[in-house]
Amino acid sequence: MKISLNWIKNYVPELKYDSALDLKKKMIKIGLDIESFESESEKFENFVVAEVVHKDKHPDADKLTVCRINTGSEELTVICGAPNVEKGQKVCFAKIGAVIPQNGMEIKKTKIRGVTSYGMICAEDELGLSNDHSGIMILDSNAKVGMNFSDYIGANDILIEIGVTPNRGDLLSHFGMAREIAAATGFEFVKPDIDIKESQEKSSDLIGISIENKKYCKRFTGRVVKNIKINESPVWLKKYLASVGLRPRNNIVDITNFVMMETGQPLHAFDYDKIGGKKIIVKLADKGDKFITLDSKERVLNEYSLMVCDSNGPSAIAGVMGGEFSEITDDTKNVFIESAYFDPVCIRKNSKLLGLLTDASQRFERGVDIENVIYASNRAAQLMQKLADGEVCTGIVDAYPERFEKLFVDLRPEKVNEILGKNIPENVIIELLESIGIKLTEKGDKKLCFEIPEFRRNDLQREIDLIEETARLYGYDNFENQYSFNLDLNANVDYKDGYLIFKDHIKNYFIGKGFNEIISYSQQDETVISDISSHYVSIENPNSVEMNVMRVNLLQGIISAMKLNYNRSGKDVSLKLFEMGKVFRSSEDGFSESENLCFAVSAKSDYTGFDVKEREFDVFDFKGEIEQFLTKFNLENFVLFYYNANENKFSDVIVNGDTVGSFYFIDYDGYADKRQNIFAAEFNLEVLYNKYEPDVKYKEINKYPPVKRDLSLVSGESLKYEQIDKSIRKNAGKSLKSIKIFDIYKDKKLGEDKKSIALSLEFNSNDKTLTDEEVNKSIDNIVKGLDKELNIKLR
Amino acid sequence: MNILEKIRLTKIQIEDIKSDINSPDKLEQFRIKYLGRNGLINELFEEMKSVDKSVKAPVGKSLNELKLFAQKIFDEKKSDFEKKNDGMADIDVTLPGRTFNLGSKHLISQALEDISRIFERIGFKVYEGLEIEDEYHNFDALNTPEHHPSRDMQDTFYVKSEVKDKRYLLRTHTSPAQIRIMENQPPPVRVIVPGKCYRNEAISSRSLSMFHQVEGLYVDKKVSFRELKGTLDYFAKEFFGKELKTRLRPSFFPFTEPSAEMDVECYLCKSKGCRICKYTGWLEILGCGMVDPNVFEFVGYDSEIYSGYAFGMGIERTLMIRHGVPDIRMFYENDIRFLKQF
Repeated sequence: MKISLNWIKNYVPELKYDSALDLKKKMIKIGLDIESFESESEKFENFVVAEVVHKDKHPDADKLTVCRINTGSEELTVICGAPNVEKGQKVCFAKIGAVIPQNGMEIKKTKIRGVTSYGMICAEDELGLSNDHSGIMILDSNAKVGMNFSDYIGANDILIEIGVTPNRGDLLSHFGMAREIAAATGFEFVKPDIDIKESQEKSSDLIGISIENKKYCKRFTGRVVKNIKINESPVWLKKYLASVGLRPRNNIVDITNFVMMETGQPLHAFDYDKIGGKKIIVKLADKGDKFITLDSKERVLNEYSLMVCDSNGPSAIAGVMGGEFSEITDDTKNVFIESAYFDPVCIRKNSKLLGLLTDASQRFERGVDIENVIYASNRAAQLMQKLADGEVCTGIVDAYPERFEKLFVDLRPEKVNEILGKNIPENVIIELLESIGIKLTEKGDKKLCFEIPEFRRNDLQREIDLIEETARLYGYDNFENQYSFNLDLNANVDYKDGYLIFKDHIKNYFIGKGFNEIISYSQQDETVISDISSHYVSIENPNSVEMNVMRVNLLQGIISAMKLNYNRSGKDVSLKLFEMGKVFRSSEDGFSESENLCFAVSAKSDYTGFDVKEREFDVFDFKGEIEQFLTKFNLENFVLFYYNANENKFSDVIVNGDTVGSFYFIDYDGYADKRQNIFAAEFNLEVLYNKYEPDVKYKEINKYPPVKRDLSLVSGESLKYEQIDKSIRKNAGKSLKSIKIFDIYKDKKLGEDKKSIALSLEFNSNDKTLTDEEVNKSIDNIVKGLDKELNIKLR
Repeated sequence: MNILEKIRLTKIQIEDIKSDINSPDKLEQFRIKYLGRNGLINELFEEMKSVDKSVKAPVGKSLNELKLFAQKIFDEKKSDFEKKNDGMADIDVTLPGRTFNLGSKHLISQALEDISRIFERIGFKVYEGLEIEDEYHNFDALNTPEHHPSRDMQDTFYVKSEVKDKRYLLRTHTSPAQIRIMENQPPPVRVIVPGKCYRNEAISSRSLSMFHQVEGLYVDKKVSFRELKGTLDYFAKEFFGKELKTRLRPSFFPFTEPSAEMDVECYLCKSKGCRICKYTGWLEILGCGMVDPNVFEFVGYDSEIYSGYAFGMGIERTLMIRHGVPDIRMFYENDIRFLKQF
């Protein structure tokens, strides 16, 4: 809502403040959300009325003149390029330091072809007053030299734009804002008096009003003003409208707009002579009907389109926009003024369905003041009499089927203190509330009863609403911060604490392992997701087709991130990414959310150094990551279940018989069409957590020295290591602690289809130092076993 | 010269030349000269064989001492050279070291954690709500009027569902978690809810359809507006800086009354006024207020006995200001050159 402070001053006549900044601070404090605050006089600081006392040609430039300017306090040299500058003119002079409104440029001392210029003579466009740049602006010859230019043009207003929350429809008016500013500054709010000379004719003889839909139209008033003279509005009215962003049209339309901006009550003026049957009927349109609004557009009506009709049919969409046929034109002689109350929900739905948001609909949908309807009508009539010589017919036709009950709210000072934590005396509470028109009607022992003014009916209905008003007017700054954190175990919410810690540990683990955490969009492309699962969650109203379903895994997000980085950073990039987040499934009885972990590597190995050979990540780099991750979280008894060339899925990860995650192997078109591998694993964190045993028991550390033996074996080429491992462990006995592979190679010398595997075995016992003999015996068993079971020979 | 005299002189000699042994070569010369098979000390041992039996014992003792002395010097020098040497003499230590990728926590995760930690210190516990919510928890129970604009399709993502009588959506704020908690637990309640939220906004450098929020709620007997102010002031000082002031400005939310926006002094210009704070000296950081009695009614809390406060803060906007991130989309693009900076 844009307001003009000069306009506001009409309703807070005694308003005084130290400075614009002081006023702004007071307005912020009372809760007005100031979006912009522009002081016109500040805008024209350093602009003065000056006289051209001398004019010469520039010695070195044909089109320039060198002028001497009297600013009232000094004489200065100024270079001017305008063709119309003459000696003796009064002009608007921008002194050094002035900021040109048109472009924000600051005026500085400048030398132009050898002559120094100490300011600028301004044109209208430079001052932001019009688009005229044909020459400098020539002022009235009586203008006083040295006077501030802002005073000369009367630009002493402060224009303020204020954000209005949905509960405060009353603030969409200068009355509403004036009430707030009055309360913020401690001055009185005064509504203008109405003074109309009514003619002999009665409005009720000229028009009839009937409300068919009483649910959506709660009150409809009309009056007739005859023999008006359509004209341009006076300057003050045009200026007010322009200052709040409205374009002046003619005096009648301008008056209805002015009264709306003043009182918050939208009015509509009809050409009385075009009202068929001199009868107004308010009723719902038939869905699908068409209607041409005054902007000449055809509108398709809906089930919420409340219409103001005459005997010929609809002539306006109630509360939204008038019709083309009945609008005020230059030929209009007699005017019918509508001032009504329409139901907020009806107007909101209608305006939305029509896609038509107007100043009127915006006010009706937040709820106007039903008791203000008559005042606004009178105010418009008064102005039409004054500014358009209209003859105001006697009385108002008022269709008001069901009066609103007066609204009273009780307030207990004790409750005020309880909620706000501060003892605000009763008389202060009363004073504060009365400052915004909330009248005390009864003072009981422990409670106060207030009458809520009609313009606040929508947001002040309960005790808490009055407590809020009290706090706001008292000033939030005046409540001292209270730092009391009493720790009450009962206030603790019962939530998965262990799980949260588990997640923290995992996150920190991967960061320590050199992974970068990513966060990707939960919304993804259905064409991708539908290939993965059929139980995905669809968004009814997505804002893009690439984000129309909820993710079912984290893998897709990781793949996208891998591709993006590969394409942006090129083939030498090393990528280790992880993400933790929710994935979603739909089911017949609703939706399920579970939390997953996905980690992945791609492109170049991240182990780098001047003597480290560059290579790509391979499957064993990643298998190691999976193994180490599971071991770190005490899930070392896992099994990888491999698939045979099953598309992307390479293996399942199984802990104690349950699948906890999967291992993926994806290749895709990467940078410069190079095929690129991604190794990724995705786990369900909740399943993983259920397998996880956070309470670790100490295992005794062996104090005896280990014995190492190396074995060099020759096996069949296709034999899997897993079988060798199993056989060795089976035959070695308890003392075998670990097996390390230190070499695998193939060579024709070994024989056809053979490979060599070199292993290092470590033996140890918990209760003694092993003897050579004991170890030899184990080795013997191992070698025999390998030979017998797998036909593996020692080299 | 008798043998004892020779031993004494040899010792003096060794002491003299000790400081000249400044390279492995000189040490080797030293070894050959004194400790070598044909070195001076061995020569003395040879000579000792021919001394009179009566003096053999003291000579032997002195000679052994001499040998140990020489050996000690040799060992010391050798270990000195080895330390210095250890292959390093040949190495260009200015070459960069070998490294693995440096991991990083996403900036948003860091902020969510930092904020949660601050509140955990003063008795709040973390709770995580649902991201797919129903209309009841996201709007109705939070006292949002049936025709409130935030329910529009232009603002809220609705989700297709087979379930009758219930409309599902992507939560537009973390506040529905308040309702879930209060439904499950009688007062008192003190909780902090970090998480993702969704709004149907056009994607631009300033807005996205997904964002993160942290919600807080405290309900007990006699929880007051002044405690809300104190708690949030404490938080802001912990998170943004102890020297910064905070202020509350009246505002409006359907689920709190009174409601407020909290500003913190601009931490970029130290409240002197800059482009980022639009020369006001203040930055808006969160919305808060006293829980509306209507919300208590929905969850069955008695607002005559209990009162409470709630607050919610968006993360991305604050992080953009704090770290100078120019485009909100960078948070979810996951370019490692962005991720690794934090």
